[in-house]
Amino acid sequence: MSIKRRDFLKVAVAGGACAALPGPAEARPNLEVPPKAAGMLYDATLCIGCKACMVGCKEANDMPVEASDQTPMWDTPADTSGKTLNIIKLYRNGTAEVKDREVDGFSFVKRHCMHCVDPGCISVCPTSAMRKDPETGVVTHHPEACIGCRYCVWACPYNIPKWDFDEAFGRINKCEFCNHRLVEGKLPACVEHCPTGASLFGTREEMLAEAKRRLALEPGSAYAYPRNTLEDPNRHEKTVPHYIDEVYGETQGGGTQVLVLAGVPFGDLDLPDVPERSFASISETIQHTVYKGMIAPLALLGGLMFVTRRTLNKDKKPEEKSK
Amino acid sequence: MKLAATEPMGGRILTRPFVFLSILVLIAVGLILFRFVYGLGAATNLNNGYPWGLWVVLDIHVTAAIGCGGYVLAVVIYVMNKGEFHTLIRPAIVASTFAYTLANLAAWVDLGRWWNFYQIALPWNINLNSVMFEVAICMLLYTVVLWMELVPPALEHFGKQKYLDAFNKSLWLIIPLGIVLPTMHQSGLGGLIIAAGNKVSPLWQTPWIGFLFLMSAIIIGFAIVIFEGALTVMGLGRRLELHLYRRLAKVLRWLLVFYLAVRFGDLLYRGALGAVLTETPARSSMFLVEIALYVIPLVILFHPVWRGSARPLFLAAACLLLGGAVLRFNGLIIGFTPSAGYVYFPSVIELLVSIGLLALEVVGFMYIVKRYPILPPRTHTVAPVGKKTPAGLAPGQGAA
Repeated sequence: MSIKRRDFLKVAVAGGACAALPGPAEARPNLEVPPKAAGMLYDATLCIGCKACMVGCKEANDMPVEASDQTPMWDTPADTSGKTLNIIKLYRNGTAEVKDREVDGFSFVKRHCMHCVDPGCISVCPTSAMRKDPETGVVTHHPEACIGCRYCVWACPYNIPKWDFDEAFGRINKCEFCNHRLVEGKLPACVEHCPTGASLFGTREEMLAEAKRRLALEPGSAYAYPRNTLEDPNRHEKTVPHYIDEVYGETQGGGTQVLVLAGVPFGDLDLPDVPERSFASISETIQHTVYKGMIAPLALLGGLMFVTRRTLNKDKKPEEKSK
Repeated sequence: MKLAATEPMGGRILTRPFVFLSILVLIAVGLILFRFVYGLGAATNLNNGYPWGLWVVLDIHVTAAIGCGGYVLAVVIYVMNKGEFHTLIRPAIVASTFAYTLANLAAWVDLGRWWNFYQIALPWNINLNSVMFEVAICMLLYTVVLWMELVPPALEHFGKQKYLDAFNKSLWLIIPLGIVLPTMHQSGLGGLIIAAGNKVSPLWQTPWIGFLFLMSAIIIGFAIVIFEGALTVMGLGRRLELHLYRRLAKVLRWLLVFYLAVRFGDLLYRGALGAVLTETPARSSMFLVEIALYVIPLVILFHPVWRGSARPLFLAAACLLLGGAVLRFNGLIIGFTPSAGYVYFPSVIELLVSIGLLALEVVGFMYIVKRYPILPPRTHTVAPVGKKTPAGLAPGQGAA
C-alpha cells in the first residue's frame, strides 16, 4: 500500500507541477492581421502640432477639455486620460531649432490607441470588455461588461487604456478609431481634422505600403503628400525629410494598425521598444499550456482525492474497530 | 476521522487590544464607504501610470499569500499523511479563511466598477485567456471552500453531531479542492505579471514568475503557521507547539533551497542577473532586500542550534513573510515601469484601509478562537497522536 501511495503522490506532485510550470507545449503564435484591417499612418514629419485632431477627437467623442496647469487658457491635458483619447506631445532637445532632428531639434508625436494586431488589453481583460472587430480589427471597449480592475491599464505596452480617476463612478476610456464614425462611412475625427495629412486613413495594407514608399524616397526631393486618404485629390507638395528608416508598428508586438513615421528615434517620442512577439501570446501560451483541457488541474484533483480518501479512511479504521 | 481535540478558549471578548483594533476596523469601514461614494481618484493616489497600488499588492496579493497556511497544512496532513499536525490545522484554516475573505473584499473595494463585479461570473463574458479571470474565480471558489472547512467546528460548537458526521463524509472532495485551487491562483497571481512584458524589469519579468509566486506562497504558508503559532503564544498566552514547528522548519528549509535555486537559475538562464547592476538604485536595492529575506532564514534553518529554538524560528518565519511581501511589491510596483511622469505613494486613506483590513483579520481570529473549538485545550498536551510527549512540553499556561 505504501508503494501505491507513493505512486499517487507522484501523480499529485506531477499534476501540481504541470499546473504551475511553463512548459514547452505548442506556443500560441501572434495573431494575424484581420482581413479588412483599418489602418492609420501618422507621419510626425508632417505634423505641425496644431492639435486640431485633439479638438476633433473631443468633439466626436463628446469629451470635455482638461487643464494640466493652474491658469488654463485652452485644452491642455498632460497625457491621454479618461477624458482625452488623443494627444499631441512634443519632443524637444537642446535649443530645439530644427524640426524632426534629434539633437537641438524637436518633433511632435500623436498618441492614442495603436489598435494592436494582437492586443494585450483584450488578452488580459477578465470580462471580455475589450474586443477586436474580426473584420476591421478596431479595438473597442465595452463598459457595461467592465469591472474596473484596470489590468488593461497596467498591461498595455503603449499605456493607452485609461481609468477616469476624476469620476466617482468611473470607466475605462480609450481611442476606438472613431468606430462609431467608421460604421457610418466617415473618417476618424483626428484624420478628418488633420490639415497636413500627418494622419492618414486607409487599410493597414495601404498605409504600410505608403509608409514604405515614403521611406524609399530621396531626402530633399519633393513628394505630393496625400491628405485624409490616399484617394483624396487634395494633395500637397513638400520636401522629403530624413526619416528614421523604420515603420513603427509594422512588427512591434506582432504589429499595430496605427503606423508611425518620424524623423527622430521612436524612443524619444514616447513610443516604447516592443519586441515582435506579443506579450499576449507569451502570457496565453503559458496559461494554455498549464490549463490545456483542464487536464493538469483535474489530474491533480483526482490524485489528491485518492490520497486524501486513503488518509481519511486510515484514520477512521481504529475508531470503527473500537465501536 | 481522528481529529485532534479542540475547545473554545473562552475568556472576555472585549479586551483592550480587541477594542483598539476594532476602532481601526471601523475607521477602515468608514473610509471604504467614502471610496465607494467618491471614487478611486478621491480616496487613493492611484493614477494611470500606477493603476495598481497598495490595495492590490498588500491586501490582495500578500494577504492571499499569508492565507496559505491552511493550504500548506492540508498538504502536510492529508497528502503526506502527517496526522500529528492536526492540532495546527484549525487555527490555520481560521486565519486562512479571514485572509482570503479579506483579499476578496479588498479586490471588490479596489474594483473601479465595484457595482459591476458580477460581470465576471456571466458566462458570455468569460475570457479564458485572461489570467485575471482564472485568479478571480479560483480565489472566490477557494474562499467558499475555506468557509466550508470551518463548518465542522461550527457544528461541533452547536452540538449537531449528526450533521457533522454527514459533513465529514464530503471531506474527501473539499480537502483536495482546497489544495488544487490555491495551487492554481497562487501561480496565477504571479502570472499576471507576464502580460505586462517589458514594462516589468527583467529581475521579475520571467515565464517562471507564476511558479516563483506559487513556491513563495507555499513557503509563506509554512512561515505563517510558525509565525501565528508564536503570536498565539504571545497574544493569547498559549504554549508553542515547538516540536511541530521544528518539523515544519525541516521541510521549509529544503523548499527555500529549491526556491532560491529556481530564482537564481532563472535569472542566470535569462542572463538577467546583470540587471542588478544596471537597474535603478531603488530596484537593485529592493531586489537585494528580497533575496536577503530569503537567505537569512535559510541560514537560520540550517543552523543546528537556531533551528530548534523558538526565537530564531520566529525570526526566520517573519523574514519569509516579509520576503514574500517584498517579492510581490517588487514584481508589481517597484519593478513596474509606468509611462513617463507618473509617481505613486499610497494615500493616507489607502494606508488606513489596509491597516483596518489587517486589524479585522486579527480581531476575527481572536473572536473565533475564543468562542469556537479551534485551538487544542490548554489543559492537554499537544503530543502527536500515538507518540510520547516530548520532554519540556508542559500544558499551556496563563491567559491574555
